[in-house]
Amino acid sequence: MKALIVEDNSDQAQFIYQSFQAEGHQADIAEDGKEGLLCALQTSYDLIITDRMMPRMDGLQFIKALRASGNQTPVMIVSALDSVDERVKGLRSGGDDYLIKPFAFSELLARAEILCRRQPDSGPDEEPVLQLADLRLELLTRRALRDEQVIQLNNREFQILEYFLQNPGRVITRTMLLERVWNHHFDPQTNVIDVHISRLRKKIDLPGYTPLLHTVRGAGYMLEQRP
Amino acid sequence: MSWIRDPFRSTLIIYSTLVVVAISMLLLTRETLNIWYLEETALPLVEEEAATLEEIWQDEGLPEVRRWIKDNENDVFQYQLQPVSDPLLIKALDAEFTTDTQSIELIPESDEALLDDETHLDDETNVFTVELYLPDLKTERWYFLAVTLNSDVFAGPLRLFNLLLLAIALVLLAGLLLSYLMLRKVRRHLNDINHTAQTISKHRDLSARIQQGNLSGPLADTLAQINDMIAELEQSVLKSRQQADNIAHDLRTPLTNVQQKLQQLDLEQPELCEIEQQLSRLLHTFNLLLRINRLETNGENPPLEAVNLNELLADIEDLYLPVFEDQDKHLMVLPLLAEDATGDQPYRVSANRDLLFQVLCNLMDNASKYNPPGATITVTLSSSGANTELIISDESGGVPPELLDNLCDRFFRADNSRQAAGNGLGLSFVKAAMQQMNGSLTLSNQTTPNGVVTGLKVNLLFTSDQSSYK
Repeated sequence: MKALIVEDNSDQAQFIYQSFQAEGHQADIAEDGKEGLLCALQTSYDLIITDRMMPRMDGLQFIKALRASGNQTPVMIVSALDSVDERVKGLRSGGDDYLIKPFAFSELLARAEILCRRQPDSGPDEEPVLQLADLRLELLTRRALRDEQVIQLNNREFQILEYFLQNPGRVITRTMLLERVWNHHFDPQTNVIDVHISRLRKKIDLPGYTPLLHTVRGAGYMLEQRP
Repeated sequence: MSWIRDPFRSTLIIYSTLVVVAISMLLLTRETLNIWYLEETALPLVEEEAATLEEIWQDEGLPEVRRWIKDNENDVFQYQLQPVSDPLLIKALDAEFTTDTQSIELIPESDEALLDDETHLDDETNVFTVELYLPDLKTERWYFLAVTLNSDVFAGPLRLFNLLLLAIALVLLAGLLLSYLMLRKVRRHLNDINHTAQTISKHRDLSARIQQGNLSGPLADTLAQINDMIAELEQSVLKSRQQADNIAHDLRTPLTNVQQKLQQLDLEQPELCEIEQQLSRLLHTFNLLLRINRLETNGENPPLEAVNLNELLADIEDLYLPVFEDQDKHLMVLPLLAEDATGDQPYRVSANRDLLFQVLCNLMDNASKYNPPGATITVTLSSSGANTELIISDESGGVPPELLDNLCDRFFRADNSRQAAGNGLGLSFVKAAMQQMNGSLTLSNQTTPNGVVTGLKVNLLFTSDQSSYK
């Protein structure tokens, strides 16, 4: 993954940059919206991470200018502004995701990877059947099967599993699940999501089968077939 | 009798009653006043004229009186002089007569009807007449002399007098009208003050000011002082918001940097993970505190929209039911059915969906934290008129009544041991968020009919003020 970091605070920029490097990704840093725009138009990136408030050209202006130039690179806004309407403003100006500072790098990374994946063809996940190992989800009939055994899932559990199966091997955080499945955007700071995951896990990772739904410590969950 | 406590209405009512009484008294006593006026002015004239004639009669006799009458017959007085022919009357008069008698003016008590010789006022024509019986010593006959004041003479002054009465009545009415207009003006300014105060408390918009117009005097001073006070408040609020922002910026940045460094070190030394998470929680508490500040001072002002409470509660139930079930607690959510309430879609309230969801999550977290296994948490909606109420009642055993008011204080925890997880900011956040959405939070103890406290009752009140949609 190659990311552009548009951030005027050098500590913050370095943190993201080094963390990306440590994960084996590439990153460039631009110090404000104007410089970011130049970089984004010259080089092709998989993802742009931009601060919200910056001198010269702020994050929202930057995104608007970027989109106006026809560039459709996914943009994640990273901001200290945690009011509910700031998020709406950010997404309305063309941002794809909004992350509130301070954030865990694992959260940023998980979101970044999902955003990048969305990019090619940006086609919706309309495959009628999602499958991982012997776990299968039939979207049309809304059936879940493990080893051809039907699993009874309620509506939310089905949505959660669908999200995991669309992103196998990727970390999905608690706030991402709350956003995707319940369409609410905040960090509940409680175990409310974990309860749902453990219920789902009990249903799909039946005794005697290889566990597929794993907990990623300090980050979230991952659906993956591990040897 | 509530009007008596309203100085405006009571002043007007008392004053208008007094004016009505005064005017009706003027109207009722007008006749009497007219007579009084004539007595004071016309009567002395007639009596003086009669006295002059009596004097001439005594000094110079009948022929001179006749001549005088002839000479003086004019518009003002009318005279009547004739011998008395009624024998009964003559007899009565003779009985009264003594050598000292110059004229009979008094009515003998014995024969009142007969000897009606006095000053009297004709009610219909407002005319004074003095009637005298005079003895002519030469012919030894009685003469009847009547002096009458021409009614037309006093018509002018009397009209003037009545005009004066009318003027008094008009002045009273004008005074009433004037005081009504004045009170209305003062009232308008007071209403303006009220309106401004409401704007400030409702939207927490300290930029609102009271209209002063071209007013001067004490009322203008009052308005100016209130406006100055609001301006000062606005300044200090802006200042404290600025300070909060400064603190946020000054402390959050280094804390964030430390947290980020720790995150990078985590990769090599997993034992640091615990410290990093503690720091994250600290930062979260810190951010929440700042956010409550912003909500209270209008720094965060999310747009209000029509939120369907039934749908939102379904989301909440869906999200939290497993949490309660895992803890062996029961969650009962009772949506508001349209037929159970008045108004079109009473479950729609003016709020911000995201903010309200966070509010409800906070309350659900509290309920799951403070209720014992087996407890039932009930969420109900009710609506009356423009108000919709969301009530969460639990079986947590409630809190001591004296602590109810403190529950919304920052960092306050009813359990002094501070055992339960949490930061003590949840209810402060709920309260600030509800106020920002023009609603309110009320906490009370849930009691059985015989007064046993069983749990806590959280009331969220929404006022469906369509005009507050932004």
